[in-house]
Amino acid sequence: MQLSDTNFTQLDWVIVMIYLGSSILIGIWANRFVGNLSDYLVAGRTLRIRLALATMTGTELGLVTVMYSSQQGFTQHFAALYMAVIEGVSLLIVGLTGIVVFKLRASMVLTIPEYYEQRYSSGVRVLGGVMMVLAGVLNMGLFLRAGSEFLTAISGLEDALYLKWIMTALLCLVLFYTVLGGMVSVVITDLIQFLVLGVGMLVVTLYVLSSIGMGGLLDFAASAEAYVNPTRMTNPAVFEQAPAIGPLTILVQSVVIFTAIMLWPAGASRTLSVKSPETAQQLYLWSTVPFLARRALPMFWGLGAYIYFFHGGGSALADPLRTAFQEGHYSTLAAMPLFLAKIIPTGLLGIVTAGMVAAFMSTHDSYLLCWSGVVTQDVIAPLFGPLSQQRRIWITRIAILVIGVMLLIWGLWYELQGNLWDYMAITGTIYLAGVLPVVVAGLYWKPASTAGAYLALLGGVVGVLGLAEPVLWLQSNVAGWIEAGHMTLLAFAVSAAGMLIGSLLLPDPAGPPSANAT
Amino acid sequence: MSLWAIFWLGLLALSAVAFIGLLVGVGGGAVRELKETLQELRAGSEEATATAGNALETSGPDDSH
Repeated sequence: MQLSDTNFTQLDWVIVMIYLGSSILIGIWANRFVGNLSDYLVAGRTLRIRLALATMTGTELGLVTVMYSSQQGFTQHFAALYMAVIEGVSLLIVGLTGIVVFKLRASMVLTIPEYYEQRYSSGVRVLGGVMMVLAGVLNMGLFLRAGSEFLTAISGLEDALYLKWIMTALLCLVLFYTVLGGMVSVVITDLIQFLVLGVGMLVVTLYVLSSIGMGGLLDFAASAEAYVNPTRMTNPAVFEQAPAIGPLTILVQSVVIFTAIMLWPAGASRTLSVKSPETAQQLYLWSTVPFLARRALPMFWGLGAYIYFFHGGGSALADPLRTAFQEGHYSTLAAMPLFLAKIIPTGLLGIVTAGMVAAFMSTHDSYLLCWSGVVTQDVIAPLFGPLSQQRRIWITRIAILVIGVMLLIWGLWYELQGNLWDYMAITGTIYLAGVLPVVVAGLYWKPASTAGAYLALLGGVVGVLGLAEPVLWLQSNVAGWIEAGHMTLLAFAVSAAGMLIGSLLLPDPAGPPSANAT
Repeated sequence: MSLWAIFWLGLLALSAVAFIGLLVGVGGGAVRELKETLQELRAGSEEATATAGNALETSGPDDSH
């Protein structure tokens, strides 16, 4: 048996193509429902709880989530599930208390930077919009690579040229239907993808369990090789590319995930699309289940891949796999799709792959729409004066295309070092560290001022220091004990201090404008 | 087996069961809500078109560009 052996055949390609073709038709059809910018960006604020929940799940249960979660399950076993717990608890807290999201929806803004203008000034809105788009595009930068790595591993394609063409084709497809239909198109496709992917995830979970066996799972859980305690600083996995977790990582992830749950723009755009503030709060409470599953089930697949390759039916491939990791032929991201390609039968593999491609597209379309909406509403419009609704829709469409090209270039060029989630958490921090004090203080702290908001937003830039290259430089030139997690916490601390010091030293002359904290 | 391992196995089982419940509970209702949403959007779009038509009749060609 070869590492690249797969059950994926022509039939599976046909299934995937049929699915992709139907997405194009939906994009064309949805265009008839777009009457104005509100329809285009937030579906006219008409979403009710079930539809909002299905589309939020469709957006947040992306292929990238599946890939990084399975990578964590493969490299950190059961201990990786601490992330699912953090996310579930964060959603419960937000859902039960309505903290931030209730007031944000009640403010009737279309985007978070629009809130900045309502509460602070138009300058804060433009800076906040720029920071959000920069961090967002960087964060999305590796989505294409993760998607194509999944497709090449599961289909057995080994030529690097195929990888690039697949990335380009997938992106063009998403651009096509997002540009045409906006949020209406996104909501319809997200619902279909929620159903296809949801069923697909359950089927895959059953195959994974049947492949490793309940006995195999329990034996591994009881063995010394299983990483079960996330506070432990050593990872017992049998290959080098398996990072440990530890208390610092748990603390950092708690801060990042809790902030992202409330204020990550793609999720916030769903909050702003629902019918009422009460629905927004309910959405968070009910999202606990899919958000728990979106981490836990793919982590289980990654864990299944580990047991399969190192202790189960695929143990003949353990050494080739280790060699492939060392030589860079495959990253640990590919372990899960390589595993699924061998255990799921032809035909069903095509349906599962269509579900995963659906997941890929559902994240991309929402993110593209979100960032391009911010470019139009929060950067171009405040800078260049009043724009008609139609002109705004066209600027949004052009922004979607420009961001798409940037993603393609970044995805082809940037080489990932370490886990995919770590990269995403660090790039996300550039935005999250700044937005947390600006929004929270704006909603709950009367003295919060424009100067404080500027300082807090700029403080998020410190998050860049968490990327691999700056951390290596800091370790060589400042102190060897510095880790990416320290830089992430530093970014949050600098932003919070900026808000506090700026507001106390430079208060707004006549008090905040319309959306006063209460 | 350690308590950690038992806890994680329980969490995995809970996630799978809860996810099945969510798919069943949300799936059908969401399709119905999508139909209602599209009807509202279509009505809003038609109303906007009618309003624009009336405005053209009363004030002549649009000079906003």
